[in-house]
Amino acid sequence: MPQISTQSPTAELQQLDAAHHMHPFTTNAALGKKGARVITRAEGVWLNDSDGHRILDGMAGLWCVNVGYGRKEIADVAARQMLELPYYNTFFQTTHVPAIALAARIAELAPGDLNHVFFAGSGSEANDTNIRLVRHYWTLKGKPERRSSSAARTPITDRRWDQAALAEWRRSIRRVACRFPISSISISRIGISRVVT
Amino acid sequence: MTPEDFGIARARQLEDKILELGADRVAAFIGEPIQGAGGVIVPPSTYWPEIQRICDKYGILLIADEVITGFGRTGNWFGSQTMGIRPHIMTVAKGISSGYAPIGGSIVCDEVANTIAGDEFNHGYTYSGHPVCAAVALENLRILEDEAIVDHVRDVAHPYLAERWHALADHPLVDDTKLVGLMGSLALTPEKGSRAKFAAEPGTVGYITRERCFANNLIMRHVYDRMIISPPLVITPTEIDILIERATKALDEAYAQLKAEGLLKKAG
Repeated sequence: MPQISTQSPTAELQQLDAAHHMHPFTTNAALGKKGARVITRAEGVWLNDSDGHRILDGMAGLWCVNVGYGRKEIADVAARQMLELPYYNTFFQTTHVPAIALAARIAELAPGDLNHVFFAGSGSEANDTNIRLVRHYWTLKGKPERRSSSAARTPITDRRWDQAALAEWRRSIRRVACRFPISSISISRIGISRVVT
Repeated sequence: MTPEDFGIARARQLEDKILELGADRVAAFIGEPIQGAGGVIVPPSTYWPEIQRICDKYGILLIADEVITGFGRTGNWFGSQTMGIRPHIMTVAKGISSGYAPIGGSIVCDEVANTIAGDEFNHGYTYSGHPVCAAVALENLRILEDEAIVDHVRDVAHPYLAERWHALADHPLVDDTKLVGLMGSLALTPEKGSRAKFAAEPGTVGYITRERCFANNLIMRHVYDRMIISPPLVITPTEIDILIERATKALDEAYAQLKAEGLLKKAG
C-alpha cells in the first residue's frame, strides 16, 4: 500500500476511498465514480480540501463544531489526558476526574433539576439509553405497562414538508429500534408523528 | 389556519393518541425543540407549551432531544429554554464537545435519577464517560463560557444573519425563510407565495442547489427541496456576508439551471 497523507494526489485518495470506505447516507457506487471531496484541514469556519479550495462550512460539520475548528486548547487538553489516563471504564464501581468534572459542570448548566448525567458515545446511543431509562423508571414505579414512547422527531411542520420530515423521522426511529429486539418495538402513527410500543 | 392554531392542533394529536392507547400505557414523549435534520422545522410558539401541558396532565415523561439545539445553537444554552420546555430528560451530544471527540449523554431530572438509583440499571457503553472525550467536552464548555459564545449568538451573529437570511426571501427561488439562533432554512419554490411543490421528484431541486453551493465553496445542506444552515457559533459578521454572498450566487446559478432544464414547474 502506498504511503497515504494529505499530500497524496487527490485522485489516488479518491480511488482508495471508493475501494474501501463505505460512506453513511450515501449511494456508494455513484460516489465512487464521482470521487469524494477530501477535506484536509480546517480553521474557524473554514475548511480546506485536497484541491486547495477554501470552503465556508455552513453546517459546522454536522451541526456540531460550535466553537469552530482549530482550537489548540482543546487539542492540548486531549493530549494531556491521553498521557495521564487514556481510558478507563465506569462500570466497576470506578470513576475518573474528567467524568466527575463534566457531569458536575453539565448539572450546573442544565435548567431545572436536570442534575444527573448518563454518558454515551453519541446522541443516537443516548436516545437508546433514554428508552431504557423511562421503561426502567416506570417498572420501578410499579407501572410496567407504561411502555410506549411517543416520538415526535417530526413535532410539527407546515404540511408541504411532511414527506421530508417523515422520512427523517423514520430514519431516527430506525436508529433507536435497531438496538432493541424487533418484537419489543412497533411503530404506529400519531398524525404526522409515530409511536413506539 | 394561523400558525398558532396549527401548533395547538398538532400538539393535540399527541393527546388523541394518548387517549387511544390509554394514558397508563404511555411512558414518554420525545422530540427535538426545533427539528434539525428534517429541514430546520420551527414549531409555532404554541406547540411546545401545549405538549408540556398534555404531558403534565397525563403524567408522561417529556424528553427533549437537544443533540442539535444544545450548547448555544439557538441563542440559549439549551433549545428547551428557547422554546419553553421543562423536560425530565435531555439528550445531548454534538455541541457538548464541538465534535472534537465523540461524546453524548442523557441529562436526567432528580425524580427519574433518584428512582433509577434504587435498582441496578443494566446498561452502559464501553465509551460511557470516556476520559479523553470528557476532558475535551469540559474544555469546549470552558471556551463557550469564557468567550461568551452563547451571548455572541444571541446578540451579534443571530441578529446580523437574520437580517440577511430573511432578505433571501426576495430571491425568485426562495419562498419561506426560518432562522432560530444559528439554525436556519430556506424553502425553495417553483412559484413564490403559492406554497407549491416542484413537479420534479422531491429533492431534485435541493440537490442541484446544494451542488451550486459546493461549487461556490459554501457548504449548505439540502433536505429534499429545503436548504439548511447551521454554521459554527463563532461566525463573524464579515463571514456571514461571505456566506450570504455565496448562497445568493448559488441560488442564482441554480435558478438559471432549473430554468434551462425545465425544472421550475410546480406539481399538478
